[in-house]
Amino acid sequence: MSRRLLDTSVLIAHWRKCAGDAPAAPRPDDARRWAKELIKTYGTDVVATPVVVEFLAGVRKRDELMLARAYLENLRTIDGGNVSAEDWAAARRYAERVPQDGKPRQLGDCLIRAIADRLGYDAYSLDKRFQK
Amino acid sequence: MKKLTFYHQVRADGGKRTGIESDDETLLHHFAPGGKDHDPALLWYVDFRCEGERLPDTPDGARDWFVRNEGYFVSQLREVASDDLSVGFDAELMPLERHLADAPDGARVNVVVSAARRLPARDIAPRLRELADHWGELLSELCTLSPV
Repeated sequence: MSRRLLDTSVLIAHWRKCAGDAPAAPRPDDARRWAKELIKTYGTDVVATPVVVEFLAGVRKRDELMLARAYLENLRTIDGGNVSAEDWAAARRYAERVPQDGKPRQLGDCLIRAIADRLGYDAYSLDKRFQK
Repeated sequence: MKKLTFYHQVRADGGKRTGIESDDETLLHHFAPGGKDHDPALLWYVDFRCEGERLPDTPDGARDWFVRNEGYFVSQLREVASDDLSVGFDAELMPLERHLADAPDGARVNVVVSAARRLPARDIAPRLRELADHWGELLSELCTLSPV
């Protein structure tokens, strides 16, 4: 796998596409298959803890939660849940970079960048705000 | 079936990461840092994803294979740049993926190109040509990853 970390926006875009193409009531096995497709498409299975949390936080129904958990099973949380003081300090530095358009930075984005950078990964996002 | 992947990815801070992986293990890697405002957000990337029985699985073997087949990979990069990327593509829908015919040593090779939303996909074409121009140089810079 390439040293590429997937941001939440990539998971959400892929999830929506799969869910849109899916039969009426997808099952956890379908979600696991979607995750394998995601990994094949983007050439990486790497995410970070804030990505997992953001993804789960977007779930709207209980049965969707089962699918979301199954989807995440095959993804590798590269920080292993260990978000360090160093990560928070780096996240703060990203937050303090005020862009020319003045738009606010997102906590998750700053932390994902910090974790990716510490572990020698580059972060792939489909969110325009992710790149300032 | 062995898998061998060459990847090259460019960050928002100008940093460039290049690597070769065999069956998900990093064989060779090089990172050229960008500007002082560190930012690991990716602007774009390209992968050559190869599968075949006769592919090498050692760092030197993998480098030699991509060097030996420079003509093939360079011409494929130029072709993708001029044909597939001249009109751009919507990276949000899917990365651009093309199967490449007549790959060396009977391998099956796909090229995958993707861009973050901030970078119009048609702007990747000149960058792929630049990669093609520096193919040999990039391969020579790759090193084995030191254990962390």
